[in-house]
Amino acid sequence: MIEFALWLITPDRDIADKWYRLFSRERLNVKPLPDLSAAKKIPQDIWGLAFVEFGAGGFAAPRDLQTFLNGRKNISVIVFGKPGKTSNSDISGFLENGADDFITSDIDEKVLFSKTKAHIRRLLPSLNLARTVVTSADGDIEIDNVKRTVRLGLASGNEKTLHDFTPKEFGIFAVLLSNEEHIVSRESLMEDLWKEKSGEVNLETIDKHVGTLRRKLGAYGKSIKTIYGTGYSFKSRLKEPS
Amino acid sequence: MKVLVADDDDSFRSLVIEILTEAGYQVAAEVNGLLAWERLQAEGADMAVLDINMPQMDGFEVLRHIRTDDRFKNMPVLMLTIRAFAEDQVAGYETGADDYLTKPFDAEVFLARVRVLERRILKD
Repeated sequence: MIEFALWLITPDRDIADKWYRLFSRERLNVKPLPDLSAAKKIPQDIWGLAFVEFGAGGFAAPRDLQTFLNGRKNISVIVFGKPGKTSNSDISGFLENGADDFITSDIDEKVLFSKTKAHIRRLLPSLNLARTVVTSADGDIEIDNVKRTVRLGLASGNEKTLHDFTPKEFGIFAVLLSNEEHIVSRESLMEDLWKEKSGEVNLETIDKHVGTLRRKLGAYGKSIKTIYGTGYSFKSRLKEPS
Repeated sequence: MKVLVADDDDSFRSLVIEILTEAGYQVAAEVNGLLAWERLQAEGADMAVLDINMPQMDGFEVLRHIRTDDRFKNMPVLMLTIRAFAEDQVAGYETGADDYLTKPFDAEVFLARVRVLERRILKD
């Protein structure tokens, strides 16, 4: 199994949060990093795509990319910059120094995602080979959509792996985690998970699956909030005030 | 390194030919998609630079032919077009383009993007 990750290397929390939500929603394994020096810890055997902001720590000139990429043949880099802040000379400099692409941070999300898929398609001829992992914003929970496992307590030090979810329970949790802090309607869950059969199932069925999902998650079940009359929302426990 | 260029606009086609030739690339240029696809089948190429709006066969159609032909399915393709809408770009990438650049373009950036595609060929 090839492990594939998508790194967001930028000190800009707004961009990191926005793109984290976009790519996580698409079940990609996304890892935000503040600067290029933090990226040096990326293991050599991981395949991935790094979005690196020009001007982020350790990336002051196009040639800094070569230092980062040295020996890393399985990582592709997309450099990004604020609109109007990067000259054509810089852009060609990035591309000549090893970047595979350049975009501006105001890129349309649909274009960004289709462009990203094109890069992944090249890196991994079969996207199914990618181990698609989604992690909660606090890093404490991780779900693996291929192994269909849920790992809890990664950041709090009480790690355990759960396997005993039904496909619907796992699917509901995957959707909620991928849309962390966003309200997901029961109708949307129904369409996502029951697809063409969604019209044949009562909305209360969702509530029953959420109930059993919460029980199986134990204390973590409280992170799934009921939004009365609408649906559900997931919020990391470690982000809540103590 | 041979580049297939397809563009019905004489001035853009001439500019692209000039930039690529000066950079040392061998160029095979055609004025529409159908002629470009026929030439590709007859002569082959290492990469393609395709306009979208062309008579007889548009750039998307040429790209579809390329991606479904075993001989060329992995060939890098750069779309070079006046169509800048997000949905056009999405359609380009979803059809199988490796890169998408809108006109008017900066010659230096265009050439750097072509070199990225060349690097991929050499890496493979």
